[in-house]
Amino acid sequence: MAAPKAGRRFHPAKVRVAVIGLVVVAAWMGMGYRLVQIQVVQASDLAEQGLSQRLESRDLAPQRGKIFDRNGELLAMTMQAQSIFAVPDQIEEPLWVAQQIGGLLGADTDVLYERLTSDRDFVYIKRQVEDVVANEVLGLEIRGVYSHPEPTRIYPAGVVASRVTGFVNIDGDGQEGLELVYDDELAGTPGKAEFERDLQGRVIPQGFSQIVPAIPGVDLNTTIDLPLQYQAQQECLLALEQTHALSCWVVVLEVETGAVLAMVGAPVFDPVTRQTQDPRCDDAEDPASCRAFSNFTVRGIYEPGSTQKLITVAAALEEGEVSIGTVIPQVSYELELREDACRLADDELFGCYRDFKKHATEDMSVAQIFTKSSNIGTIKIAQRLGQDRLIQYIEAFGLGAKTGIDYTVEAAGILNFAAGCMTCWASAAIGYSVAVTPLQMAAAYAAIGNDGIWITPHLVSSKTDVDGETQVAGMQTRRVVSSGTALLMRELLASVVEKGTGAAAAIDGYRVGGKTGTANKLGADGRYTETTRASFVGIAPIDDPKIVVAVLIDAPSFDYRTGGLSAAPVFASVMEQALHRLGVTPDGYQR
Amino acid sequence: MVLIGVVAFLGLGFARTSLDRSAFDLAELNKAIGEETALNRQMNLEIARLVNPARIAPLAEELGLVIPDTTNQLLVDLTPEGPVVAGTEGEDRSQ
Repeated sequence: MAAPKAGRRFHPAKVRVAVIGLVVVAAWMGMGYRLVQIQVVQASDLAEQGLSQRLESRDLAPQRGKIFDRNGELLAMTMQAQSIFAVPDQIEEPLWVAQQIGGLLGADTDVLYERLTSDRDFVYIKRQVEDVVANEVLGLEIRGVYSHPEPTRIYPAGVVASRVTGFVNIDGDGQEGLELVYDDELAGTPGKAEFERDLQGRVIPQGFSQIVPAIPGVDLNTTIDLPLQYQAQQECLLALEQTHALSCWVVVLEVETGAVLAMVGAPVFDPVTRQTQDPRCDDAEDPASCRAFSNFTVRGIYEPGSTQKLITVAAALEEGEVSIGTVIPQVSYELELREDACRLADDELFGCYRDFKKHATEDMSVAQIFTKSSNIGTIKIAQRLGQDRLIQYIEAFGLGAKTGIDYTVEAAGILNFAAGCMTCWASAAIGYSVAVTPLQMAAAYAAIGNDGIWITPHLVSSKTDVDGETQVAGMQTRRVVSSGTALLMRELLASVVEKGTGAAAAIDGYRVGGKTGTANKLGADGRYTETTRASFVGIAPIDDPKIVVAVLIDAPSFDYRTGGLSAAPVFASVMEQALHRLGVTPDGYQR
Repeated sequence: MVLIGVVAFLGLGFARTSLDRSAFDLAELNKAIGEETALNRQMNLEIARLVNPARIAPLAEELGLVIPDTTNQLLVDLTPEGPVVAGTEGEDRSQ
C-alpha cells in the first residue's frame, strides 16, 4: 500500500487570512487610488463644483440717473418700491384674498380674482407700490402673497414738467422725452456680485467674494426753469378755459444760448399714468384721444400764418430789395395771382389772396405793411425777392429741417414748393404752403434777437456722472441775416406791439416786439375752414434781447380766433414771468 | 515648546474669530449705509415734492398771496447828489 503523497498543503485558516488580507490590501489600494483621483487628479474640478454650489451670483442694477431743472430742482428720480405678487397654487380663499388686497391697493377685485385663480405659477398683483402700502398688504399675512423690491421712476414735479422729461415704462426703459433721448446714459451700466453663502443663505464672511459695482446713470441738468414752466402751463390752461381751444403750446428760449427755459402744452398729462388731465376726457368716446402725450412744440406742424412774414421781410431787407421806408404802391384788400381766382374759388391755394380786414387800396411802406400785417403788401415784397431767394432764407432760418434739439422724433416741417406750383411762393411769404413747429418759429425769432445768428435749441446743458460734471457739446450756430437787418426787424416787431396787431403783448417796464399769426386750418376735404390756429412769437427786451416766447393756440373760439386776441395775452404773461425769473433789468418802457 | 504651540493655536483662533466678527460688522455697516442712502433719497424726493410750484402756488393763493399787478422800479440817479426815486409803473389789472 502506497503512503500518501507528501506535499504543501494550505491550511484553510491561513488561506482565509490571506484572502482577507488581499481584499483589505485591494480595498486600501482602491481607496488610495480613489483618494489620489479625488485629491490630485480631480481636485480642481471638484473644488470648483463645490464652490459653484456655495456661490451665488447677483446682477447689481444701476441707479437710473436723475433729471434736474436749471436750478437743481428734481424733475425725475428713481426710488425703491415693492412689487406684490402671488403664487396662485398657495392661495386658499382667492375671493376673500382678492377683496382684502383689492381694497388696500385700490385694484379691481374681479381682475384680481381672475389672476389669483389662474393656472400660472406666478402672477403680479401690483407692481411698484410704495413701501407703506406693501407693508399693509404683507401685514395681512396671507399665504401665497409676497413682494420683492423693484425700482420705480418718480416725477416730483408731476404734470408740470412731463412734456420735457417724458416717461419710462414699467421696466424703467425710456419711452418719451428726455427719458428716451438719453435712455442709454440715464440707465447706467449693470454690475455683478458673486459671494459664497451657507445652507441658510447667509454670506460666508471669509468666503470667496467678488463685486463689480454697478455704474449709476448720468444725471441730466436741463435748461428748464421749473417755476417758469409752471407759470407758462398755468397761462396755457387759463387760455384754454377762456378761448375753448383744443390745445395751447408755449416755448420759451434764451436768445443768446438757445436754451429752452420752458416747453409746455395744455391739456397736461401725467407722466406716471400717461393720461391727459382734461375734463373733456371724462366723457371721451375714444380713450386713445386722452393719451395724447405727444409734444406738439417739437412734433406738431402747422401753417404759421403772419408770423412767417418776419422771414419774408428780413430776406427782402437783407437782399437790399426794400428798406423799411420803401413804399409799395397800390396795396389792395384782394390780390389775384391767377385770373378770376377770387371769383371762381374761395381758396387761397388757388391764387386768391386777401387781407384779414377789408381796406381801401393804398400805398404802404414796408414798415406799415409789417405792422398792419398786410398779406397783399407782403406778397408784393416777396415778388421783388423771387421764389428762389425766398426759399433760401426760409431754409436759412431753419424751416423745413429739424432744429436738432435733443428731443425725440422731431418734425422737420414741410416746405411746399412743388414744381409747377405758380402761387406757392406767395402763400409761403404769408405763412401758408409751409408747415412749421412752434420750436422752429421760436428759433427763427431768436436768430433775429441774437443779431442774425441762429442757434440750435437745446434742453440739456450738462451731465453729471461719477467723474463729475461735463458740459454738452457746443451748439450749432449760423448767420442768417446781418446784425443791421436783425436790428431793423426788431424795430418792426416792436412797432407791431406798439401800433399794430400785437397790442395785447405789451408788458409794463419792458419794450417788447413780436408778431401775431392767424392761419385757417385745413379741413378733411383739403380746403381751408373758418377754424384757426392763433399764434404769437415775440422777443424782449427789444433793445437787448434776452428771451423769445412762442405761443400757439389751436382752434380757439370765434371771439378769440386771431393771434392778437388769444395768443398775445398769453405771451405777455409768460414773457413777464420769464424776464423776472432771469432778473432782466426793466428798460423803463411804458405802454 | 508645548506652551508656545498652545498659545499660537489660541492666538490663531482668536484672530480668526475677530476677523469673522469684523466681517459681520462690515456687513452690518454696509446695510446701514444702504438704509441711510435710501432714507436720504426719500428725503430728497420729499423736498422736491414740497418745493414743486404746483403745490406751493395753490397754497399761496389760499393765503391770499398774488402775483404783483404792478412793476416797481427804483430809478437811481448816478450823479453824486442825485436822488433815489422809487416809482411804480403799470396799471392795477385787478380793477
